[in-house]
Amino acid sequence: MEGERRTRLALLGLGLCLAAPFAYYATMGVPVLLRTGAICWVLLAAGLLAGGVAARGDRRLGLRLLAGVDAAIALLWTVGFFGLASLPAPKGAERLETAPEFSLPDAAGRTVSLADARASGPVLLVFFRGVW
Amino acid sequence: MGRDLGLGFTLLSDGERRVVREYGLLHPGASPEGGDIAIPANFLVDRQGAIRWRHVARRIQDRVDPSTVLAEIGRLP
Repeated sequence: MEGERRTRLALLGLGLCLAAPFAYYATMGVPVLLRTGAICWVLLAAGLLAGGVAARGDRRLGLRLLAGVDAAIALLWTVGFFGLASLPAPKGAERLETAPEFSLPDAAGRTVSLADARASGPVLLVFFRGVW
Repeated sequence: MGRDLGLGFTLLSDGERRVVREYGLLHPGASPEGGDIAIPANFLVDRQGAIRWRHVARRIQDRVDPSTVLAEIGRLP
């Protein structure tokens, strides 16, 4: 492969790796993509491959540095995705057999109780972490 | 907020994390401001109060697919 094409391939690889986190954030509304990060892994893999192929057998330091940057982005993302994002083991949530009763205010200030809600049918309780 | 977002379900406020604690879902100091917030979770509760199905997140990105929830609701007697 000629040098100029290698350079272009290396830059493409870097672009793909840089785009991966943005692609993840842009597709967070789709639960399966939020959970698995599928799009960003595909982009990272393609970027690493492009960067690796461009740098392989090329003596230019720049291409190797770019491949190193690709690898660093992928490593940071992996650590963040699996390591920093891990949650503490829930204290008892897995073992509850009956739902503890509660009463809480809704947005209009009316008190809503679980007992009242389930009297009219099954209830899906969703605990939100924040607005996301 | 529920109205602004057009939500078709009741949004309750657990400002003191009392229910979050009772359900064993407290994640201390995890909000951007350092406050206590909830581990994301879903519980399907039947008329008698029994938990028929649950999903508790293990990573902050871990969310159950709506289709899974609907399938579990469909399996209720």
